[in-house]
Amino acid sequence: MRVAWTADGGTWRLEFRLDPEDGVTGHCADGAALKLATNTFRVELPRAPRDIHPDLLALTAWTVVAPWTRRRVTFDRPISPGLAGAIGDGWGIEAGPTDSTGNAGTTGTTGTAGPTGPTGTRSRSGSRLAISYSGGADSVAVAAMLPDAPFVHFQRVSHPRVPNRWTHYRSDVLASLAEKTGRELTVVRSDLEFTLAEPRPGYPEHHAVAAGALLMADELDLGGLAFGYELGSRWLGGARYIHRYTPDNLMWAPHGAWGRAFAAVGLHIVLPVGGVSEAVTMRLALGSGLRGQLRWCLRGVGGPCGTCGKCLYKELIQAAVERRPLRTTITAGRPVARKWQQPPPYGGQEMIEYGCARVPGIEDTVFAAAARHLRATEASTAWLDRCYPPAVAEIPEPWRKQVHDFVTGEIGFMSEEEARRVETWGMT
Amino acid sequence: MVRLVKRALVPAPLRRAVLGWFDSRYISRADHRQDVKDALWEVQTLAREVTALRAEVVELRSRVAGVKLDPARAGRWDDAHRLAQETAVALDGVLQNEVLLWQAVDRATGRATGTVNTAGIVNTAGTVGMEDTA
Repeated sequence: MRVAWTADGGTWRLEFRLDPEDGVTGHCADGAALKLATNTFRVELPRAPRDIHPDLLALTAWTVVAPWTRRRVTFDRPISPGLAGAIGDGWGIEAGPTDSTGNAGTTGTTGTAGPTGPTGTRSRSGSRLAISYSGGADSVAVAAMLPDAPFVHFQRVSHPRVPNRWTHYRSDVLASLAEKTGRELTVVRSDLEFTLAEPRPGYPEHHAVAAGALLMADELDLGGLAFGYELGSRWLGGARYIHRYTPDNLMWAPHGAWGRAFAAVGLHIVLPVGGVSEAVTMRLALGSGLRGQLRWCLRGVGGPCGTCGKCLYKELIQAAVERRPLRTTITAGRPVARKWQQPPPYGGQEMIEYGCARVPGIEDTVFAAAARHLRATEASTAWLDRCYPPAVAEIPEPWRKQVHDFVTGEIGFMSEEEARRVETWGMT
Repeated sequence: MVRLVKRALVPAPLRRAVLGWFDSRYISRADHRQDVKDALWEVQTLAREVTALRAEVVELRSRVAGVKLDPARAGRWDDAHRLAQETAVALDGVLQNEVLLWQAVDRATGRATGTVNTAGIVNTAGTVGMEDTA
């Protein structure tokens, strides 16, 4: 794979070309099969940055091209040996060219790609922590934990070459909600999701959401990026992953391939809510000052649509947290409710158990069949109300104390027995 | 009230005071009658309005039933929708083929050897470059 950036003011455009051994089909780090749609994308920054370290440009490109790269990735300007090593160790992919003189950032090979840096440092670093903010319950919970951290919001825009058949995805609504939070905010607009043809447009790697934060990292002096990935995603192999305990999570563990790649460019992955379930993030979000801007639905305009699968899933969690009956018009016959009529495993199963154990009258809802299969009780799901201690221990040192204090004050840690529930998840 | 007056012997001034106090607190029979009449009038007015609205609904329904979707036009709409879908899917294929074509071009021109300092697709005079695919 060969990648090349061109810049026009604040708009950075990437084109990539396949090497002979590369193909248009590949796999995301979570194992999902992906098919390439097209080989260009752009990232529109709110202003032209003074300087972008070559490692940041390279890693941004890598979050998009990684699934389709088989043997080698060639960037258009030298990267630091640290990043090349992280890609080599993490993926077995030869990355280059490297700047062994330690002069990454000062080379004259940038072509038309904007100003070159005066740094002369081998690797970059920064000091601030930003939040990759989507506006959903998990990132609002992160925002509640880190009240002074700036937001970076990724906004999907249409790709000039790919017909947009997904206009129901209202990224504009989410961006306007982010603006209403009143927090320091950087909105970055990009069409990179349209490089993916199958299963549908989306991030080729989950980390592509960080494109804006990566390209603005020097400008904003970022040393870490906080994501809303919670217990299920980080430790339980949730969603479309493997449904079991994942201490060495390829995507989100600090020592995983992606964690090391981000560390190599001086932008550490930070998961402030990595040790708590979606019940806790929901509780924190509903009690937060940003509740008015809280939105997990991608379709609704004036409010959540109430009819999509995500609305149904989140309604179960919210009803459980608020200890009230389920409020939904979705019936068991609807396609979005179909999976709950089947036996487990489910994506996010720990939260289905939590909801089924707590929502009054669950036996008369679309989750009745799931509740019968899971037979969860409040006691059997109580561990989901507390924080898994190793998740705080793995937060980089500069930000660990703040998260630790918040967890101690607002959530509380799991006992050893409860932590064992995490560590045996999917194995019993 | 009458019963109360009959059961107890009450001095006239006190009785008058009590009756006066009750009268000031409660609406008189005449007023009640008027209120009932007004309410009845309102109900009758509303009943007439509902009847008129029902007639309007019936009339609008009959008008809608009279309108038929022109099958030729509906066919054209369906066709345009089908064509839009198929074109989008076909374009997916075209875009993928373009990526593969560039892969073949790069292989044929020996550009993909990985020995170049840059990624091999930054423009040099006379070679394929970004502008060609923009």
